[in-house]
Amino acid sequence: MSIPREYGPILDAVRGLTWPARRRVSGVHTGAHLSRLRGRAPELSEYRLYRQGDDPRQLDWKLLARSDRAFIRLSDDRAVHPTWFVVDASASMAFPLPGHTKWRMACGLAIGLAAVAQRAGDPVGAAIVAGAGTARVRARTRADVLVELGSALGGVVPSGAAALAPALLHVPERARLVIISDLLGDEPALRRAAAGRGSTGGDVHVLHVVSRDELDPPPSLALALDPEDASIERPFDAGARAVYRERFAEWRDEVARGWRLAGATYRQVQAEHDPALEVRAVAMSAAGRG
Amino acid sequence: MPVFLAPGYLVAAVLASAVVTALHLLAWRRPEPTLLPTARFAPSSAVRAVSRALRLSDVSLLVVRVLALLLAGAALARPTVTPRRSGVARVLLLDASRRVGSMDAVRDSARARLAGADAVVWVRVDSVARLLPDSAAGDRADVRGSLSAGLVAAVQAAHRLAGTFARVEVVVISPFAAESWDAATDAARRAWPGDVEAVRVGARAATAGAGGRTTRVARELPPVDDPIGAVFSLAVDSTLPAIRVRREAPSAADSAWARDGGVVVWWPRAGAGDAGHTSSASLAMLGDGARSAVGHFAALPGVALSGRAILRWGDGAIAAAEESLGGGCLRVVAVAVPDAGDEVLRPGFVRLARGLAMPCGGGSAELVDDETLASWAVPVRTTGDAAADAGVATVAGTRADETSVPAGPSATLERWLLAAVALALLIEWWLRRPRATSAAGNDASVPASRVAA
Repeated sequence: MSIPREYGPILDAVRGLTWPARRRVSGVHTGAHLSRLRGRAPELSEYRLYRQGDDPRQLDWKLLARSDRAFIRLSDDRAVHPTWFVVDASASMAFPLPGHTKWRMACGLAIGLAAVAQRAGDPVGAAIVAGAGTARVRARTRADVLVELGSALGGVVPSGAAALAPALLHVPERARLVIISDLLGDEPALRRAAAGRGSTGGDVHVLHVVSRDELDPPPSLALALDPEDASIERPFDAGARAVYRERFAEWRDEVARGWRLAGATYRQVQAEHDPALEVRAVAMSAAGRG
Repeated sequence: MPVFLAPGYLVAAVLASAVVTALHLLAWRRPEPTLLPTARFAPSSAVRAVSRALRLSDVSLLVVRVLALLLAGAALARPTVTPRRSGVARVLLLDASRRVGSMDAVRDSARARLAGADAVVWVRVDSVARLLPDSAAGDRADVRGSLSAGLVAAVQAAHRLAGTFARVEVVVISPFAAESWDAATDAARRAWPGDVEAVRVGARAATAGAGGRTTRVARELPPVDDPIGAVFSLAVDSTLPAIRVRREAPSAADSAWARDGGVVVWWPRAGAGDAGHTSSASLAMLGDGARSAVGHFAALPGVALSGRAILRWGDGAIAAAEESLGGGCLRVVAVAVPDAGDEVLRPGFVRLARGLAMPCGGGSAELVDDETLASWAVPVRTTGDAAADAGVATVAGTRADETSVPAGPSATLERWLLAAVALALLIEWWLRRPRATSAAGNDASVPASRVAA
């Protein structure tokens, strides 16, 4: 079994890309991310005056001989950063018809970012939350985790309405959490559930997927129907269209503000864009901060 | 060109079609729903609204519905199809009764009216009417004529011709003797609403009997001291044919005289055992309402009355009968008259006696006057009701009026129209089906489970 052919261009485009953690990670396994721990890595980072209790083996004897002062060598350790993807597979992601562009973008983002993380040696896991249930991919560093992730994404049909917040319970607190969703479900609960991770060393990325047809509904739209709530029916005349754009923009701004205040990295992704470019943008924005 | 006998249904169908068209223009329409995950951000308002841009929805469905309504209205309106007609037809009614002066005159008058006719129907009438294959009308018959019978046959022929010819003319060639005219003559004439051309030919004088060989003026009446003799002496004049009135049974000579064309009246005397006079009785001459008498008369019992009844009592019993004998006739009168008194001399009884002295067969020397004939010839006015007059043919006498065919509703056309209605309804049902199924499942925007009914 191999990764579905449709993800080939994305994987090629993100080859060589790094996605460093936003802050020092607390992992103990050697990895690609700066660790909180200072250890005996060959790469020297700084000197510090020797204090009682320090390991004498870290003393820089040559500097002591030159300066007659005791300094210890400090170097940054690197550790792995488990990366978990929570992918929204509710009915609202199956839009617009017939191509389900939002879902395809979500899958591309998950595969692309998972490939970047896996190549850096990070364990990658996923929870794909649909109305029928949650498909989980156990976090592993092996290369076939991408195959399993691709298979899991391909086996899910976006449908129903399911809450994403409970899926966070299975994600380790200090892992890098990537939420790929249109945030039309339980966004407030999800934000609350994700808010505490920042303080505990976690890293939260929110990729808000929106469609061009949601930003600017086509003129032929006369009556809009919510795929997750049949009671929501809205006629679309000229006046309603203007009100819709205004309200939707306000909501998006409010959501972005809320996630940023919660300590997450928020990014709005338009579904019609190139997934590879979006993956690159996510990784490089993290690198810029790092 | 089709004519509708009940156009109200067609008008109703047109009105219904207008209503359907208006509904198609102004129908409340529910827009096609489309999935939009962010629909919640649009303001909520009434989903169903009349389209502000008035445009016909479902043009094909509208056309089929209107067509079905109009066809149904046309079928219920009882359409008739009037076939094309052309040409002129003429019905010639030739009187060949005993009052015709010369059959040659009749034939000449008929031949003079052949010009311009594309078809001619010959009808001969004496006491009965019959259609002739050609102009050979034959000889005059020695019987009393009946214009009523002739007109019935002529009008029937005229109605048959009206289905094929644009103009049908009826011509009656007759001396128009009063004896040929009866109460049914007017009714028979009115069965034909157009002109009837009346051509009068010379009449022969009234004779005593059918044979007409004898025109004796001689009379043999009872003596004037006999009440019957007295009344006949007052009633009979030179205008009446020869007559013998007997109080006893007629002799062989009387019978021979009657066969020779005379009129014999046998008026038996009242016997000793007769019923006698009644307090009051009335007598009426058949066929002549003006001849009646009321007086102390009684029926004579034991008198056999055979032949044609010519006199009746007030209760309808026969009082006198006429039996034809060769060229003349024998009239038997079973009425007992008082021997004394002047009841028999009263004007009413005298007129009765005069009637008994008329030529045999109820004949009359009179002719129908020209004024009556002129008014009889004018066309019957139509009622003005199109349905009632649809079958009335108009005849061009001197006018060039078109005739219409007495047509009834076309059952075949109605069946075809109803079949077309059924087909239109079937097409309408078929056109509506895809709209229901597409709204349920063929729309790519909306899953089948999400579409409201």
